[in-house]
Amino acid sequence: MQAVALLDKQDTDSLPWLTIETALYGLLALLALLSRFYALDARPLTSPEAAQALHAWQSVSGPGGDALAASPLLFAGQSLAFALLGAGDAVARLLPALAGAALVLLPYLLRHRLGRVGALAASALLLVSPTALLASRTGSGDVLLLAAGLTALTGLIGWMDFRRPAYLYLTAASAALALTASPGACTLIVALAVAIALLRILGAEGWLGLQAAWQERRNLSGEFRLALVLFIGVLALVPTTLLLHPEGVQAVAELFPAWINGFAPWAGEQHLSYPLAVLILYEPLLLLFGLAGAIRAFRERDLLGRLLAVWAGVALLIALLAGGRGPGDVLLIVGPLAVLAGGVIGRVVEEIAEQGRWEREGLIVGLLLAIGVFFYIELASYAYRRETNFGWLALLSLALSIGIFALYALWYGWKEAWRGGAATVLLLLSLSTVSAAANLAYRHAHDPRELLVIEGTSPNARDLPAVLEQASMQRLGAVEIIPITVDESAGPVVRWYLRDFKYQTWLPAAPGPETATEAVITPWKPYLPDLGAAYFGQDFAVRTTWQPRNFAWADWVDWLLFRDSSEQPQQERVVLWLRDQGD
Amino acid sequence: MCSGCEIKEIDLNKTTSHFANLSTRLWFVLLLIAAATRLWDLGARVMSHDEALHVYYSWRLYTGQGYMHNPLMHGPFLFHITALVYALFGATDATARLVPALFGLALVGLPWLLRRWLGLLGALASGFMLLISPLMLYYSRYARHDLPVLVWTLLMVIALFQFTATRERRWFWIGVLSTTLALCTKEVSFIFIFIALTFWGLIWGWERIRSRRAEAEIEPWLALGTIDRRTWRKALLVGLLIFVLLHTTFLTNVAGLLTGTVGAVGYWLAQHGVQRGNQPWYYYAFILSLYEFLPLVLGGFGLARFLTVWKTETKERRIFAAFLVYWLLLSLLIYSWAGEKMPWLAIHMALPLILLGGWFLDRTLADTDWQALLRRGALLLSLLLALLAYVLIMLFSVRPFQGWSIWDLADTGQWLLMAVVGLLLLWAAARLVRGLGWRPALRVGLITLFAALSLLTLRFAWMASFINQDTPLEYLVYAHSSTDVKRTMAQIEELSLRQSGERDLGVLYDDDVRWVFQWYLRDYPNARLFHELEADDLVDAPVVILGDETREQNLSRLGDDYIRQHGGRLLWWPLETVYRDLTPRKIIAALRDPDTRRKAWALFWFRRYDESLAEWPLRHNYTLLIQRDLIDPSIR
Repeated sequence: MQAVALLDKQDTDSLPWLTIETALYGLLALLALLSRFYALDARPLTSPEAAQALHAWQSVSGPGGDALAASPLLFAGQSLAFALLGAGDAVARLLPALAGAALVLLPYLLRHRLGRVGALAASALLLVSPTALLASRTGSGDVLLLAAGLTALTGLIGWMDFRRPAYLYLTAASAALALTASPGACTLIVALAVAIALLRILGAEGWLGLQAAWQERRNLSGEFRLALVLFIGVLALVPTTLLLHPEGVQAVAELFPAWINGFAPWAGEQHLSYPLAVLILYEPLLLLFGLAGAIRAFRERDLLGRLLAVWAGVALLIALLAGGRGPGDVLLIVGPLAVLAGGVIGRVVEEIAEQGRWEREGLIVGLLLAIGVFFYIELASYAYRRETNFGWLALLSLALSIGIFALYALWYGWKEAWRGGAATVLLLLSLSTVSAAANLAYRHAHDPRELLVIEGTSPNARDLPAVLEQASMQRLGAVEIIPITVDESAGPVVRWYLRDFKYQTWLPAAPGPETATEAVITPWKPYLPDLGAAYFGQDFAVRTTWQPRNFAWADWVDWLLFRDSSEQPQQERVVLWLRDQGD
Repeated sequence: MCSGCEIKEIDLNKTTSHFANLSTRLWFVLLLIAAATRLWDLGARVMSHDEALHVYYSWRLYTGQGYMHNPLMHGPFLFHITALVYALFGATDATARLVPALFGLALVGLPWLLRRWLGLLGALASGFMLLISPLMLYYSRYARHDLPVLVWTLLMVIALFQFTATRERRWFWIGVLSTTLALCTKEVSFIFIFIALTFWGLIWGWERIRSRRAEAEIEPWLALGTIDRRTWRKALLVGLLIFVLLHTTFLTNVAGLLTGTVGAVGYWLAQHGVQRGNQPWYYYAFILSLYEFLPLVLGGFGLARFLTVWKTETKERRIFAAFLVYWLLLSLLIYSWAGEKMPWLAIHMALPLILLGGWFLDRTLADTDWQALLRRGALLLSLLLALLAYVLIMLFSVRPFQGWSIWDLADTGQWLLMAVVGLLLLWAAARLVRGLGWRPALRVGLITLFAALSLLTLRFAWMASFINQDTPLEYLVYAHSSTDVKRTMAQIEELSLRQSGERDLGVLYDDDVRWVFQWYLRDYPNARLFHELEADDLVDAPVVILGDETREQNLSRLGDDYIRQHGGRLLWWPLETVYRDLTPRKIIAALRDPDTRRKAWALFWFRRYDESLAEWPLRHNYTLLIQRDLIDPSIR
């Protein structure tokens, strides 16, 4: 056969599944894995992550550990991972990273509801969402809850639409996993109850659909029985790590009181506006198009959209009401918003592709983008030079873009203007989201100046075990055998990084004159501790927090654009005291 | 399925594969490998002198310190797009090189759009050669303007030929945009535009003479004639708008209009006289022979083939091939004539060479019935030819009949054995050739040559981009920093983190080491550049970095407060004695001298020189000094 004929021969029998759409999902899967797993251990564990991981590590490394961790599901995953791969920062985050990657592909199962482009857009949004990305790279149960909750909803919709039992089993298993993932599961239960009540009151298509599915399938009791067994089985086996830790059941039961405790006004340090500030700052794309999706869902009586909208609304309400609000609460709002936004973006993209013309909509997009660049340059100059005329020029460019938009609308028509405006907003907000996600997850993941970080752990914390190992080697001839006394207030991060040292004594109070071990670790104080021998010390930054005060306008802009500030984060430091050998 | 559910009317079982033919799948694989080789570990290599300038000024634009176009650093496109990448992903060595890497990836895929003229096989072969090209790979991972401008150039070619053939408006607009962006990227675009215009001018003249008519019909001109005045005005406006916006940094630097037009042309014409780099006229022949021997061989064959078969080609493909030949020859001529010769400019000759090589392969091999040839022993012949080539190399590398010592006798024995094996292989190959026929056998020979040279090219591409990437053992590594700089920065970072937990150590560095340290110290707010060292400068400056030029005079001013740490290699250049002042007589003499042959082989195959890297003669050093009380006594 000739070379050209060989190259050009159509072979439709092989790889029929490999379409442009599946190739795009393949690309999204690859990017999801890369973005979730790349340099997973680049930042040290934070205090909550360390506390969670310590439970699993202690249960694997010997007697004395218990399963009463903040996330029973993550405890089981971490125990398994530590047993197979050994303990480490990346291994502690393995399960959330896997769940975060799987979450990206979930909209594939909703293509029939969202449309091909809409489902792809929802996947892309879950891929680049800063909140979802950081949560996927954090050793907490937040992303596990979102992934399990969204899978349960997807299964339910699939079961209603296709009547396949596999969807019911998927719902049962993932609902059970969601209940063991984090206290936030209670938020999902409330959201589901509200959604069902609302659908009942509205007597909407969704309620009828649920009823129809139930009527049609209720005679198939075997199907439901199997789903129930699956639900109970997962609920019993996972938090107890295959019945190895029966106290896992207690850990699940304690999720509800933990959730209730979160409502106490003193439960956290975040301001009431925290969830909204995070959404506006990190997720403007989801917020804008997600809101549009919610409005559309109620106007068009779309069941999936309504369920998601109620979920997002209830999650937002609870995050506003609860004093102990944090990034996990925002993640529960982000998930449904992403799917809602995906549907709307899909429609916008399809409309632009069908009706948009380069010389018409392209003109307004080009002009607005050029003004957008000018706006950024002036704003960045204002932040750097602190001269107000740059700030005014930035504001002027905003006004100019509004004026140009209005003129364009009058000239070409409002439909064209909206299409061009939507394309520009979509493009600019996509860029802003990608920027926020990449900078948050890879550059500033330990920096408390990021709203989603709240408290960070300084990279300097990892120098502590390194110096101790060096000292142990020099003094005793082997690493990790140096006797250490540690003040318990040093915190879980220090405990996590010292986990491999064999001879540790943790004291509930500050070490006193009775302490004379080779190494002593105490929180930093402006005076020398009274120890039983002569010591010299080196301090290490561990926990970092940031509370900005006295911010001028330019400081705000500087922080908004670069997360930079003249006010540095506050550091909680510990001091490593090594006994003076007096040579 | 439930009634009333709002299910989208899409056929979820639709299974029409878009990857149903082999060529599409091969293109897919090429692009996957291109993505991996272009994007993998981009930040590993230390910045070179020129890269440091480009990435630093992009960073200034990103951080609100502005950017003013300067012809010294070429067009504004790279600075703007790199600043955008910083805004998206932050400023690091890897992100600073992301733009050329993505353009390098696009370049591999672009010949797909030339299938009509290169043929399916030719386009694929061109994509493959672009993928493994050492020059393309290295400079795709290098923060310079050359890869972007090369992509614009190829897009101009594609747009012109596609528009001429299809008259589709989108190609007209792609042509307008790529031309504008090329002019905003690098001044070498003037050279290509000159080549393209003169080519069509010559074709016009030729057609006029041939048809003996006052008005000759030139296809692209006819095609462009179909564009109405309104569209031309729009195109001019769009082009002008992009040019003005980029050169004035979005209207924040109006002087950019002057520097981007008169300034740019004037500056680079003046550089012709400066002769920066001071390279001989045959510099590109040397670089291309060392790295791009595959396209050089195929392009050479292509040139010969074009001269013999151009009449039998279709008009469309004939003009395209003629354009490639003209583009290649004029590029070689102009770049070799120009005063400034740098290794990265060789890619502007490598591109037409690769495309011509692709055209030649398609012209020669496209109608080959490979299945029939394989049945008749083509694979065996290919193997025999490869072995024969190996035996020939061995015959030339071993010197027989030199004496009666045990070593000389061993050499003689080996040579005789090789000669016998060679004769046997030759005999077997001749029999196979007789069975296949001369033409098919030549095709098998060509494909064997292509495979062998591809493997060699792959080796040199890998060595240049991933092994010797920041040492001047490679002739592509020019005015480059050494890994010493990264070591120094790691030491400074450790000191700073130990002091305060932040990167805020006071670092004083002199003008002589400005490039590349200005880039690497960008995140240190207390780093300061000095021209003349004053006593006040030393306040809050626990670390000082001095260049070779000013070291002695500054060391005396520092006194005993500072401890001299390691010295490092700030910049180094490849050895030029190898190829300078070559004459035919010198080349013949060198080929006759076994010692020179051995050295040439060591250079070509291993990039091994008499000079070690530690004693590299062409380098510029720096010295790191640290305040005495900052150096922590080690833990006792």
